[in-house]
This record gives sequence, C-alpha cells and structure tokens, in this order.
Amino acid sequence: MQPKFRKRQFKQGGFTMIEMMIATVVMVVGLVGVAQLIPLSIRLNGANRNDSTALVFAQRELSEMIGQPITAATFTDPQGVLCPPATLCNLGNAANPKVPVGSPLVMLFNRPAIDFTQAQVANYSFNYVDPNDPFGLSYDVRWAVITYATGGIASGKRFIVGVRRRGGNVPFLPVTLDTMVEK
Amino acid sequence: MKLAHKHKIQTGFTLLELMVSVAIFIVISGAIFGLLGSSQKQFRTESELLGAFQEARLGLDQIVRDASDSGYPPVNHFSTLPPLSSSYVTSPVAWMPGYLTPAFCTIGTAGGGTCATPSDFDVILEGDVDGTGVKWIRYQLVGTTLFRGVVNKSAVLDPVTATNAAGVMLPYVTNVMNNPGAALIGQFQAAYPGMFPGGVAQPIFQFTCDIPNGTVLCQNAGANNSPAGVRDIEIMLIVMTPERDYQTGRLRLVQLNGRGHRINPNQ
Repeated sequence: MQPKFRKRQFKQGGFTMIEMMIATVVMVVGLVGVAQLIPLSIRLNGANRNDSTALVFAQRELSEMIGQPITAATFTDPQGVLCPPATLCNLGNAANPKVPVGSPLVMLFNRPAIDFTQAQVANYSFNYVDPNDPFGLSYDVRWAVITYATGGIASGKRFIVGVRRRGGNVPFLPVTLDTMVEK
Repeated sequence: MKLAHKHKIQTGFTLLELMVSVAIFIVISGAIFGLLGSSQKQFRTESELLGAFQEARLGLDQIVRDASDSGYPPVNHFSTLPPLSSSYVTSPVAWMPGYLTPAFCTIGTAGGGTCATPSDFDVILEGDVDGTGVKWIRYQLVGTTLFRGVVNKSAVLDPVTATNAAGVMLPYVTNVMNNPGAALIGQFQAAYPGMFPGGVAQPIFQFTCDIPNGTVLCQNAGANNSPAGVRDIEIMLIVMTPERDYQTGRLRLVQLNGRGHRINPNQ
C-alpha cells in the first residue's frame, strides 16, 4: 500500500521548467508587440498636434489674405505674425492672370496643393516660429495666388495656402487650404 | 505514521520564497505608483496651462469686440451736434493729455509719442457698444494684472479721471506677463525662445492709423498719427500659469494674438 501511495504523490508534478519558459517566451513576444503601440501612439499624438497647429495657422493666414483689398498686390502685418516683420507678402500678379503665381503647386487627389519638395519662393513663403512651443518648433508657410483680372485690374483671387511643420510631419501630408474671393 | 508522512510531502511556500515574491511585488507596484504620481503632476500642469489659455482668450475676445464696436456714433452722423459731448464719439480711442482742449497727442511705442494713453499697456475705447449711451472702456496693465473698466462718457471729466474713479477699474486678466521686468524676461526667453524678441517688454496694444492708401502703425503714420485715426488695434497677451511646471519647475506661458478692427467710419 505504502509504495503505491508514494508513487502517486511523486507523479503529481506542476508544469515543467521547459513548459514555463515556452509560456513565458510566448507571453513576452505578445507583450513586446503590444508595447510598441505606446511609442507609436505618442508619436502620432505629437504629429497630430503639429498638424492642428499648422491648420489653425493656415486658417489665420488665409483669413488675413481674404481681408485684404482685392486690388492689393502685397500686405504686411505690424505684429510680424502673418507676414514677417519689415517684409512684404505678395498677393499675386494682376498682369499675369489665370495662372498660379507664387509657390509651386502639385495636383494631389485631383486638388491643387503646395509642393513642399520645391524651394521656398521669396515673398510667397516664410517660416513661422510657434511662440507657445518651448522647443521653438517652426512651420513652413507657403502660398500661391491665381488672379482673375479684367484690363490688368484684379477682379477675383484664389488663394492656396499650405502649412506644414518644417522638415515634414510624417505620416501626415502638409495642410493645404484654398478659397476664392471675387469682387 | 501514514498521516504524518503525507503532511511532510505536501509542503507550501517557504518563508524565503514568500519574502522574495512580496519584495518583487512591492518593487513593481512602487514603479506603477511612481508613474501615477508623475502623470498626476503632468495633468495639473496642463490644466493650469489650459486655464491660462482660456483666461487669455476670454480677455482677448472682449478687447477685440470692444475695439471693433468703438467709434459709434461719430460726429458726422449728426446734422446738428448734440449739446453734450457725452452723446457722441469724439474719437474711437480716447486720449490723454489734451482730451478736453481738445488737442490730439501722438501715439508711440516703448515710451515714444506724446500720448500717455493710448500706449503699449493702456487704451481707452470710446463708443456706444450696447445701445445705452457712449461709454469709455479702459484696459490698463498694472503690474501683471490687466484691469478693465467701463464708465459712461462724461461731458466734463477727461477719460483718465473718469475711469480712475473708485470702483471703475476691476481686475480682468491676471498673470499677464507682457511687461514683467528684465529678470523675468530672461527666464522667459530661456523657456520660450520665440516669445520675447529683443529681450524687451512686449506691447499689449499696437495701433495702426489710417493713411490715404491703407493703414500703417501709428508711430510711422507721420501727420496721420492721431488717436482719432486709429483703425486697428493689434493685441498680444502673454499669460503665465499661477504655478510653475510641477514636474520640471519651468515657467509656463501662453501667447495669444488678435486684432480689433474698427468698423465704424472716421469722424
């Protein structure tokens, strides 16, 4: 009787070391896979924030342009926010109507967008430094204007404004806004 | 004998094993609580920053609205001018010295110009903003608090005396850091490189004056530099959070820009 009992007790083992190690490896592989989502989401969150800042700035820039007299060829901003201090920002050329003037454009999903692979064009672009960002993050602001004119006098304008974080904002495309004003 | 033998085989954890596992548990939960604490600090800091932003936005919006509505009703709206000057607007932006004479002063920045008000940190808007008669609405930065006061336009008092009466000026936006003094500007520049260009105080108010073909900053407007010709008021508010960053101990600031554009015509 005694030996049988003893044998049963001996057989009542838990998991073996090998089993435990395999289970641990499987779990670690899973955890590492999931943990990679955390830095990814932090990065995406930052990129999203930069994209929102770019969008808000593009809206401000566009509304400033819309607010200018339609015949104005340039504008300035005394605060140096929407146009750098002591600089003229151009608003197209009435002598060259119906074609985009300013920063080069590219067709993206059948819509015109600012081509950020080209160099900046003077008086149609500047770098905006976000004052509220402790790291001095800056944004590349560019625009193009299509003027509609009769007899060399502007009667309508289409503004295409593009803003993106300088150096790109992967995985997001640059923000492009466009609108049209007519007399 | 049999029973005793069974007991001997069925051993539990030893004290040592338990102590080790408890120690591991404490270390892990300690790390988790540490994370909780730091995210709590982050949350408080960001809440304060958001609060400062909201306060600045509230103040900025009201200044913009008041500036846009100023200048009504202008003198040229009347075929016969009312006997009391408090029934109409002399200038969209009231000024001192010389308001009662009346003799216009010139607007400057950083202490330039002959106007005491309007200036970088002080403006008195004049207009019937709510349909109950012409008001003087004054915004003035004293220390780090932006005060706002509204008083009915007086036919006998000058705008500064009228708004300086007891109980008129009330604190409106606190922790405004446009003119914080050189020591703080240095600290601000270290934390926010783009915020204090030149390391000098940043005007809350800048004024653009009408010139024959557009508007320019009043100090550049030459003969058109006058409080009566103010068209736009460019506003910049820099507001600091009440406490430093709970984690890094750094100062946290918010800068907002806006523009009040007078819609009412010139006098």
